[in-house]
Amino acid sequence: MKLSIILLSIGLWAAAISARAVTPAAEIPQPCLFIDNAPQGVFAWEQSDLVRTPGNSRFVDYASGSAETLVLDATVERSVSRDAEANPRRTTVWTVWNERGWYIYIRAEEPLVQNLLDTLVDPKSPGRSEMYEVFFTPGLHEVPYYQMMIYPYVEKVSHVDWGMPHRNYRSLSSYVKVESQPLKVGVGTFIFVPWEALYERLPLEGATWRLSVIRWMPFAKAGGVTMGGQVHETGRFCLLEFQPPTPEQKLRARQRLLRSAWFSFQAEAKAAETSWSDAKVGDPLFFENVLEPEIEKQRAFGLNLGEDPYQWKADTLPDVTATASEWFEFRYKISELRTAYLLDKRMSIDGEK
Amino acid sequence: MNPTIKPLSLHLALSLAVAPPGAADTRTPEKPDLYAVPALSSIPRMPDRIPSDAVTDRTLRMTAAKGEYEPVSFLIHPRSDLPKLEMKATALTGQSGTIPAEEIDIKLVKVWYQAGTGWYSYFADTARRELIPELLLNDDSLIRVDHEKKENYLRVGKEYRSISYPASEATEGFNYLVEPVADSETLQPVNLKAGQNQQVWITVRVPKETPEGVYQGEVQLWHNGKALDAVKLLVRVLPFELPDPKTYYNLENDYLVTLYSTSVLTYKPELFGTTAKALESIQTKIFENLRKHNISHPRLSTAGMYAINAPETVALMKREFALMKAAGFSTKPLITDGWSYPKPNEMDNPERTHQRIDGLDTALRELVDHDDIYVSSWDEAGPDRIRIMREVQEYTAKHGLKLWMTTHKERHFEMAGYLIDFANHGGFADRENVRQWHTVGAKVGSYAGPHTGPENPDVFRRWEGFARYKENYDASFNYKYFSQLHSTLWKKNKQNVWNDFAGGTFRQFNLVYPTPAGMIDTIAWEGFREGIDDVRYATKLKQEAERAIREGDVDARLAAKKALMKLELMDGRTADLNHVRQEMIESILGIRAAMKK
Repeated sequence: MKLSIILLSIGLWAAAISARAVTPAAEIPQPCLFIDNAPQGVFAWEQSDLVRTPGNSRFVDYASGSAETLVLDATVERSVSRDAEANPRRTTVWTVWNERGWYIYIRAEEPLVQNLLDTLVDPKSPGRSEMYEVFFTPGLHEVPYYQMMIYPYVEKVSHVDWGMPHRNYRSLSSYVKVESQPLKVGVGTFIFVPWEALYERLPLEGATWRLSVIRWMPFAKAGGVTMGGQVHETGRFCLLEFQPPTPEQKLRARQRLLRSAWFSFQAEAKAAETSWSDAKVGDPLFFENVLEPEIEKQRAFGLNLGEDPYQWKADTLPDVTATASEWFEFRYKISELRTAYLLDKRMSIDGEK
Repeated sequence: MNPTIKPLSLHLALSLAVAPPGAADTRTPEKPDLYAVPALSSIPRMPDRIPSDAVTDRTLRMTAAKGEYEPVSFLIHPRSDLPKLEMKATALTGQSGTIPAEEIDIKLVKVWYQAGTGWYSYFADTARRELIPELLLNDDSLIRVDHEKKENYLRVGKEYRSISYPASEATEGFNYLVEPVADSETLQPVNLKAGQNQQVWITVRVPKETPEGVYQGEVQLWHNGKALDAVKLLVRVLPFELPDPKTYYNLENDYLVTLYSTSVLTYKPELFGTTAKALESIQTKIFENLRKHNISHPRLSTAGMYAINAPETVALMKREFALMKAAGFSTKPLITDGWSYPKPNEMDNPERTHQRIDGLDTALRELVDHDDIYVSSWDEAGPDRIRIMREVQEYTAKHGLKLWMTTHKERHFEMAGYLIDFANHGGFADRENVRQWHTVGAKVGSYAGPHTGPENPDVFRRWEGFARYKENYDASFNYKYFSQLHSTLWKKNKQNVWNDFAGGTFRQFNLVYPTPAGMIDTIAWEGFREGIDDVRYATKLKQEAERAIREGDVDARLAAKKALMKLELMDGRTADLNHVRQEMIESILGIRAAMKK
């Protein structure tokens, strides 16, 4: 995509956001454009015109007093010390989305990058503790929040699951791709969150999310900077405004997500058929009376949309969230059916004697 | 400022309580919609929507072992205002006996405002406020909620006080040891508004002597003295009791269940305007509450005071120990907070440290007739402190006292793995970390994975229970029971255990809310109990399997090994735990049936 077109899109979308905003100027949301062919990976981002757009560089120092209290956090060791002589480092975050997922690119400038890279062979090198904490909430209220800790110079990523896995929450660790690469000016980090991880939050009508990136810079003893608030302070994260897709983009997004859900269901259903129908290790009675009818119902529903999921038509596509939940979460559906089945069995005590 | 509002003005200002019914209005209101919901769920039950896992079923079903506490839940969705709705349970009757109505505890789930991440996290997020279900109350009016201001008010005596103020507006600390806060001892009528859901939480305690079978009764809804509606309650009592929990990797080893901050006996009464007798009364209630929630080995929390005043400490230790025994806790091992590190005044004089440890050792051994005694050392020690601790612990170890302490990766094992008998690892459960400590024969627990604070009951059910168990841990040892008052700084810091908006790094760490009248439970605390019950069911399964493998015929042995295989295949981190529970029961009954053939 040409830079001029991107800039125009950003300008138009930012103007639209500003016109709607009731928040102070500093809290005006960052736009998250729908980009058809969003770049994948660090080098693709660096070669794209997107990094020539402003992005979000509104990072401020992480309050040193607050940073010191983070020593109380037993789950993460952070190097937060700050040398008064250390110059500020520029950090910029860009995000875009499309039918495949949500893309975040972070460029972290580090004038000492060559020196930092050279010392990584030392297991105690502070460069190994350079870290971003990426927090986001996929919505404004009553939504879970997510935390990723990314160590860009050692290719280490850890996710903290503040939600518990169930139908409406899945750990990002199974889905998110992160790539970091050294650049001449510092380091670039690319994060990709596929919609499979957050399908119920697919912003088909646009949406406002919260996002914060906190950067810790122990190598230069440069302390920390934050794009919005302190760690876990979701109320002070930056707002991120997802651009609503065009009707054509929206259709593509719905088609792709339902296809993925359908394939997921088929794989789960096939595995379940094999295991539950097995007279030795499964439960054929449960399979025949409960599970098989449910599998057939879902299969019929999917096949009714058309034999070839790549040809599913807009006018017959079902509600994305409800259907994707049935198909992506078929494993939990089996658990729910099985739990009810076993409870029924327990209530007919004579059947056990 | 934390304003005090009198009940009448609060009533007018908040317009929350439903207006009392006119004396002449005896019309029977429309029946509400009733929905069964899983009690333990990651989906919060909110007033304004029907959750996706709710079913329009007027029958609540549960399975329970003999002696077990087990919850079920339902939602009342009133079609019209329902003032002064009353609920009561009938006895549950079965072919072989009865479960008395007194064993059925009905509580109202209170939805109130908590910090933004409240459902998920223990980190403070005072920039936002979210409505969150948390408290289990008999009297809904103990807390009043102002939805316009997003504030909570607590009834203290006859007045309501704000408990939603930022630190900058705090005027004084809240002394929960003496402030007259009390839930009602019995379930009170509740005012429900049209279209606003009320979650009802029912806990059935099955007496140990109850014969197996299916028991049936009702939870009835009454209005103006007339029966309005009812839900049927079906309880299948299983033909066994649950054993104490054992570890997944070795059926001989206890899975210890303990918790930080469970003592108030350590408080100096004069600093809190109370008496030793009053503290002992609260301590008794704490132990009673811990016992009901599957805590097996509370810490003897007074031992750490030995360096301050040895004679007084010995007397307190004996008293706390007696209360622990009376409440029915196991005291083997005896886990204490005794210090195995030099106090500031001992730094240059190791002999003083040795004398203190000698004295503590003698005092502890007077309490128990075994050697399985743990003392502790510095919390979250860095390398320098670990080096100092080693010197002290080598002396302590010669007495036969064991050491538990908080540990961190790539530090404690490498520097002092040979001295630490019980590593309480900071962070989420991690099987690799456990493996390392087990190579030196140490037990492993963990804390901060996560700390207490999140209100989602599934967090504690999973992480204190099945997930940790399957990662081969030896203990649940989390921080902490509730946010206790600091003995000297509580006034200065203006602490208030009820206020989630005071800021700082963390939220309140509350599994319960303390009052002089007893602990107020939360749905998270009920999740904790169920998590340990999951481990007890798994233990029962493994015990039955072991017996079948040892004593059964080939069919029984194969049934046992199949059950073990299925248990291993259950993913502790992601499995639906309601399903896991039922599948474990199915396996236990299957092995028992195979043994009877």
